[in-house]
Amino acid sequence: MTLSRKAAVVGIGATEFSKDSGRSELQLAAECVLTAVADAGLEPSDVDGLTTFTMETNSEINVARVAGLGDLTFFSKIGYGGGAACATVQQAAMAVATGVADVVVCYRAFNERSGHRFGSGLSRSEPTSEGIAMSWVSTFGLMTPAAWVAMFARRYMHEYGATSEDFGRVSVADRKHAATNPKAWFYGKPITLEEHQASRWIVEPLHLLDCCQETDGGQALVVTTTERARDLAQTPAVIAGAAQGAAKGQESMVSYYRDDIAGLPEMGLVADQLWAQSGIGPEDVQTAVIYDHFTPFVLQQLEEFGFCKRGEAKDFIADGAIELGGRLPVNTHGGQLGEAYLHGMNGIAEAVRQIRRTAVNQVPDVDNVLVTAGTGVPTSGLVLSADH
Amino acid sequence: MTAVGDVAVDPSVDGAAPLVGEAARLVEEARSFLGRTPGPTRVARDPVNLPMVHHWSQALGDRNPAYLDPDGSSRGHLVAPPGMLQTWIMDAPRDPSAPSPSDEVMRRLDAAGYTSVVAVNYEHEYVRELLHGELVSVRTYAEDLSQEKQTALGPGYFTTTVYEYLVGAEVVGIGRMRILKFKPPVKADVGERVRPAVGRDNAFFWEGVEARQLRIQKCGGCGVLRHPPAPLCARCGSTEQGYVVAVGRGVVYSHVTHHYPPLPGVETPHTALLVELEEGVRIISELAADADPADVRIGLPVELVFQKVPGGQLLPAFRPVA
Repeated sequence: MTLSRKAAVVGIGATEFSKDSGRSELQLAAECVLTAVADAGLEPSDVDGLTTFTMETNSEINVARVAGLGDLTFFSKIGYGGGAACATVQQAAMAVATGVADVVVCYRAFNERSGHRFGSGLSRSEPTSEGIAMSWVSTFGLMTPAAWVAMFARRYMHEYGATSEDFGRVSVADRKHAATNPKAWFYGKPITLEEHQASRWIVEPLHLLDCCQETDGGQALVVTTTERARDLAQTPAVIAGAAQGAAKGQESMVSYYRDDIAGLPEMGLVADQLWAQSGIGPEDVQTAVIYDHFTPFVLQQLEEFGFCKRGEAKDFIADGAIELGGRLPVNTHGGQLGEAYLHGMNGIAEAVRQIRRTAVNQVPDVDNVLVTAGTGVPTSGLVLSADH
Repeated sequence: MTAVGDVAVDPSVDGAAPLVGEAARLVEEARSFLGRTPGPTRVARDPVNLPMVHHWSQALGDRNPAYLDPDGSSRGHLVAPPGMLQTWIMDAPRDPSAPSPSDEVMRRLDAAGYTSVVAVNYEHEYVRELLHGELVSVRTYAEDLSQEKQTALGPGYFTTTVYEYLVGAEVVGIGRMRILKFKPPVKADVGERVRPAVGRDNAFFWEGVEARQLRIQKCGGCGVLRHPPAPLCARCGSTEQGYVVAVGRGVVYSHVTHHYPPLPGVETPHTALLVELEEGVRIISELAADADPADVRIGLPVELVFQKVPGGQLLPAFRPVA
C-alpha cells in the first residue's frame, strides 16, 4: 500500500497578486478555487473535497457555499502556518487515492497586506467571513448551541408532530444506560420522562434534560492496519466505513436557509458513504452511538441513516427501541447526556468496547456498530466491525 | 425610630428593609412638613362657568337640569356639578418659588428614590354648591406619610394631600388624595448586545438597517435574491451584487425562546425568529420588544419594525401583523 502515483494535480488558479485586493478574503478564496476548477476543465459541482490551513479565515463550508460547490465528502485543515502548504496536497492525494473524494481543491487566500499583517502585531480591521457568518445569528440574541439546535427542533416538531416527550425519551434511554455504567457521571441516576418534562427551560422547546452535560476529561484512540491489529493486544475494531459530510447550503450550526431544515442532509451524506463503503445497511447494525449533545438531533439521525422513515423516529423510539434490549440500543455507555461530553470521542471508545464485547452494557452478538459525530455542523461517521 | 450608626431602624415596619443614610434622612425631613398648616393659595384662571359644565356633563352623561337648564332647575339658578370641584383649579398658576408642604414631601420622596406615583383613592367633601361666576382657589397641606411598605409595585410610602377649596375665605369643599410614592423596579442591567460583524460583503445590509431598510442581496448577474449575502453568486459566479429593499412582511418559519444562560444585551425570555420573507428568503431576527412571545407560532404573519436593543444597536425585528 502506497500513496505514490495515485493522484495528480490537474488545475491551478489564482487571483491577481496585489497590496490591496479591494475585496473580502472570502471572495479571494472563492475566486481562486473557481479559477483552478475552470483550469482543470471541471465544473464547481464536481468538487467534493477541500483542504486548507488552520490559519485560513475562510472555512471549507463558506468557500463551498459561496463558490457553488457540491456536497463535500472530505475537508481538512492543517496546522502550523506555512508548514501546511504541501500537506494540503498530501491530504487531498490520500482522499482521492482511497476514494474518499473524487476532486479535492487545496486553497489559501488572504489580505495579508491590506488586512491583518502577520508582522504588525495589530488586530485585523475587517471581520473574517467566519465572524460574519456567526454574526447573522448572534446579533439577534441567538448565541448558544442549545438555541441554534432549538430552532431546528421547533421546525421538526411542526413538520412531523414530534413532541418534547419524544425528545425526552432519548434522554431517558441515555440516563438508563449511564445508570449502570460506573464510568458515567450519572451512574446510578436514571431519570423519568416526568422529570424530563419538569426540568426548566433552557431555550424553548428544549428543557435542561435535553442538553448534554459539560465534562473535563480526555479520550484517545489508536489506529493501525487491520493486518497489524491482529498481532496486538486487543480484539480489533475494524473500520468498515469512515466518512465526512458537508452538504449543500452548509453552515456551522445555523443552516437555516436550505429549502428543508427538518433533516440533517450532511448526516445523510455520511450515511450513504458509510453504507456504501461497509457493504452493510441499518438492518446489520446491532447497536449505535448517536451523537447526542441535544436530544432532537438523535431523532433526525435515526431517519438519515434509514433506521426509520423521515418523520417517524418518534414512533421508532416510542416503545424503548433505543434502550438495552430494544431493536437498536443507542448510546449504551450513557451517551454525552449520561456518561460524558467529550465531543463524541468517548462514544467511539464505547463502539470499540461493544466490538470487543467488553462493554458494561454489552449488547449480544455485536458485529457492527454505527458511530456518528456532531450534528448541525459538517460532520462524520464510522462503522466499526468485528474482524471476521 | 432609632438610629444605629448610619442605619435608621424602624421596628414597627414589617419586613421593610431599613433605610440607609441619605434616603432615611430625606424621609425624616419629609415628615417635618406634615401638619395642618397649608401652603400658598392658588387661584383658578376662570370662574365657574357654563361652557366647562357643558363639557363635563356631556363627557359624563349627566344631564341634571340643575347644571344645565335655568328654567328646569328647582333652585331657580344653575349650580356646578359637585364632582367638578377639582377641575376649577386645574392649571391654576403656581409659584415655583413657593412650594406647598405636600410639594416638599414629594420632592424629598423623589430624591430618596421613590419616584413613581400611583393614586390610591381620592375623597371629596362638599361644603356647599358652587355658583356660576364664583372664583375658586385652593391650598394644600400634607396630612400623613406612612412608614415604608412593601407593595406589589415596589417599596414605597403612602401619603395624603388635603386640598382646601375656597371661595374668598370660605371653605367650599375639601379633597383628600392618597397616593403611593414607590421605587420603580430596577431592570437588571443586561449589558450590551454583541455588535454585528460588518465587512465589505455585508456592509450594504447594515447601512440599510441604519436607514431603516431591510435589504436583500440581489445578484447583478442572474438576479437571484440571497440571504445571508455573499461576494459571489453561487448560481452564476457573478461578483456584481445589488440589493432590493424588503417590503417587510413574512411568516414565522421557526422560533425559539431563550431562558438560560444570561447573555450580554439579551433580556430573557428572549424570542428569536426565523422569518420567511415575502421575497422568498429567510432571515434570523427577533420578536419586537412590545410583542408577546406566547403569540408566536410557525406560520404567523409578521411585519418588520426597527428597534434599539441594549447597547443602542438598531436592529430589524418582527411583530405579529395587527
